[in-house]
Amino acid sequence: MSEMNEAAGHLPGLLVSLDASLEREFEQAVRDSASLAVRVAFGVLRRREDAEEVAQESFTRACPKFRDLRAPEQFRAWIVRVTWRLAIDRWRAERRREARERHAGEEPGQRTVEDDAVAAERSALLWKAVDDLPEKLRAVIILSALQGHDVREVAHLLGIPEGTVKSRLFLARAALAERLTCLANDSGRR
Amino acid sequence: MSCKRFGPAIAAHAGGAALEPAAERHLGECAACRQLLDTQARLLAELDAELGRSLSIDVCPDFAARVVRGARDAGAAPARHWIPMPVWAGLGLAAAIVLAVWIRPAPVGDAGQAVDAGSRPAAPAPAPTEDVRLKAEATHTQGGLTQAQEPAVGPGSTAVGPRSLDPGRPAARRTPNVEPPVIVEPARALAIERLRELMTQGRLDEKMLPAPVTPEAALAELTIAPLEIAEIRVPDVEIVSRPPAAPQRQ
Repeated sequence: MSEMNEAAGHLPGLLVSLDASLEREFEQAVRDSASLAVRVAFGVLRRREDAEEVAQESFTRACPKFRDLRAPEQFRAWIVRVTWRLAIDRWRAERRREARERHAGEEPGQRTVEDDAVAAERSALLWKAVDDLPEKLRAVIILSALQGHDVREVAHLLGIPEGTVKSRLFLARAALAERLTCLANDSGRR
Repeated sequence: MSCKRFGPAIAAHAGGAALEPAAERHLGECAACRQLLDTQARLLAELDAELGRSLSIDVCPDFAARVVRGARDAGAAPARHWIPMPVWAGLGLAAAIVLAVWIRPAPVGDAGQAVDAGSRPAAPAPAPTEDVRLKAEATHTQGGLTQAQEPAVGPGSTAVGPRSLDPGRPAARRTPNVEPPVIVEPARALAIERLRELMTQGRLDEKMLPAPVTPEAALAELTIAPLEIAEIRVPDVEIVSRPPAAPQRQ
């Protein structure tokens, strides 16, 4: 019985050390996937602060499930999908808010010096074409644009077959080509 | 007309898809479409460069620590789905103790304590077995009980078992494992007692037992009262046809 008491006496310390080791493991997983998550969010939101907030939110959601997501590849894929979803939700909410503000008669955001620059205008045009894509095509385009992500990696991250990624990629690029041409012609006419 | 027809194929080709022969032939002949293809390819290359440049941002060095801190503050610690061995051992021990307490025979005293509920401390008494109860029953049927030992049940029957014999005191609460008192008629209690004596002495004979009841005999004992059916009258129903209601005038 005394042995049992002794074991019970060590138990809290044991639990604390287990929690601590799991927490260290989680921190390492966050370090490994942080850039990917922030870039995915940035691909949708295009504001660094917003992207980091969304990435942090997805990591916070992953934390209680970390035991099931311990395998690094699984964790990365889960984080990418959740980050993408959260970023899209936030992007939609912002678009609704902006539409309401425009509807209320407010002037659209005042143009800054940077916005007037040709390069910024070109960048905005390119991103507008991406924003106009359907979500599925958009995800494939953004993830493919991330450095070191080939079709197989994108398929793994999104949990879809490679053939689907390829076909979506072709569709997305064809749509982008047409859309960009229209936008370029419109801006050239103005 | 051809240019519009080959538009999607040209866009797909700009995006990296192979060109079908008909579209290829058209491209060879149409300068406008060739220019369109060049423009689209250039724009896509610009887009790729823009995406690559924009999406190469790096996170702050303390981002991971911030995330872990935020998760801790939000109470979302990494959950352990398994329980360490010492916890299992402790749980098993606790379950064994609970089980042992549960199946231990209840102290007899709680019924016996009530017999003399004066200032005397409760002393452990032997468990009230069936023998004791039947003996008490037999004593009662012979009129040997005092007024204080009057049972709490009806006059024609006797409750056999632990009960409070103090008239001013309610019957003691039974513990769950004490059998409820067997209530039998006095004559039957005497018969049971007699039978038991014979069994213990080995003098029980089959002739002394009642004959087994056959199904025929049981049926013969059944008496079914004849069913009296009164005269059934159906009330007369008169069907009256009413004229249709006149439409309401507004």
